Amino acid sequence: MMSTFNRIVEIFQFVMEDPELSLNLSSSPIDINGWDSFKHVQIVMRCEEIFDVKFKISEIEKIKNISDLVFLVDNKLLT
Amino acid sequence: MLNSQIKSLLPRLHLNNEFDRLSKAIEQLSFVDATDFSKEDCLLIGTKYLEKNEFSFVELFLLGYIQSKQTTADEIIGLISSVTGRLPIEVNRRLIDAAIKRHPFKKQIIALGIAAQADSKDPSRMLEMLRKKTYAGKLDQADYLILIDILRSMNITLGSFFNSERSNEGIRKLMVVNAFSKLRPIGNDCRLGFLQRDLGFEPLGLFRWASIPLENIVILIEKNFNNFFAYENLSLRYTKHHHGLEEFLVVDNRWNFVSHTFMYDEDRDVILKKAHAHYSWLARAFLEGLEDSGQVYVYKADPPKPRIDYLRLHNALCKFSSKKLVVIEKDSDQDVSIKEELSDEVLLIRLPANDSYAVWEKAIYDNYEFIASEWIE
Repeated sequence: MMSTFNRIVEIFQFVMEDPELSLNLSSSPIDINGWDSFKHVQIVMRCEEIFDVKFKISEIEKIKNISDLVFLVDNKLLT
Repeated sequence: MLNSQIKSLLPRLHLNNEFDRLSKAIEQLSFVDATDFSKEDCLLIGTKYLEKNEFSFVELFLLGYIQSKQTTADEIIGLISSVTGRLPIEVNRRLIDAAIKRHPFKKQIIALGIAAQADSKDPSRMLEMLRKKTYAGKLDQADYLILIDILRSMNITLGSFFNSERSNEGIRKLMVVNAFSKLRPIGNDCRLGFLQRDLGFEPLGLFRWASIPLENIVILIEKNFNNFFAYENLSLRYTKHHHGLEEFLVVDNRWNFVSHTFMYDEDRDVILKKAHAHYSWLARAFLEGLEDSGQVYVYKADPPKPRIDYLRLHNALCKFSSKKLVVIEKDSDQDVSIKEELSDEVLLIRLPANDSYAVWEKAIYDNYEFIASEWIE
């Protein structure tokens, strides 16, 4: 079974249309070209679909890097 | 040097079961040297231990990450900003000390260090300490944003400084940035959205880049956004901005909702599909967000509407829980802001025709008690 991090990397590669996109836990919109608010919502929608969870705006506004997103998804999956 | 068992597990570290086996192997070692691990492995292992609240190992591996020559200053800032609130104070301080040793002139890291080292929780003192560390003695937006995040994580309020002798220019700036971060635009133009962007905030919002008649916002909220952004009602409008940039606007013709897409060179069908998914999701999230309290919604009325319309809008926003609403009107007959309380939760501010950042800043600061009441001690 893939880890949350690896699945999120696949989601980013799909949304950013870049199968070679490389990420680490501290990657942020500053490092990832094209991670704007439109892509942010697309990433969140894809995460909701893949992980079968739902996010609130107040939760996703706090996502500043990949680590925050992994942490949020893992917390959702635990509850 | 790493033993063969650990070496064999590292490539599959992303798998949770493998991490459990790895952590057992690590914990059986009499001495662990994080420099034996790659930068990526240090970060991953440290984060995994953080999920388990095993802070001695968190510190060991995150120090390995920070001290790696391959780790950039921005990566370190990203790491520290994301883990600060989850770590014991002493561990946090030691990580930041290591970060400062690696990047002694990086202001954001110094700001994190000052907050971690401050023996008093006085934001005025933190600002002064930070200012002294800056080359030109001047703070920038990044410093204020970092300090605000830190103050929030430490539950430090700014309200006691409001109109007090302890207030100074730095505190005033912190309060204004803090208040701006609370505001949620709900139309009817993008001015506030751009002001927030200039301050470094990018709140996600259905109406942030949109215009829509006030009465339609009320109906949409009352009807749970039923039939909003139905695909058959959408169209694109091509526009050329005064600075030459061309862009597609998306229009929901049923609700007279017009919004930026910030897209200009994609296929029209692709833009429509993306906009449809995007705004449908934001509408759902906006509606769910009404269940939360604490946001302050801002409606910019141009031209001004009857007061009763603002109260109707506020009533709709309070569908699930109480909310505050700030209505901004422009008044070309005046050169200072005028405020009028329409109710305990609805404030009308009439700005001069020239609604520059300075005018907004003063209006926001003067009404800090209304906007950020939860930060008033």
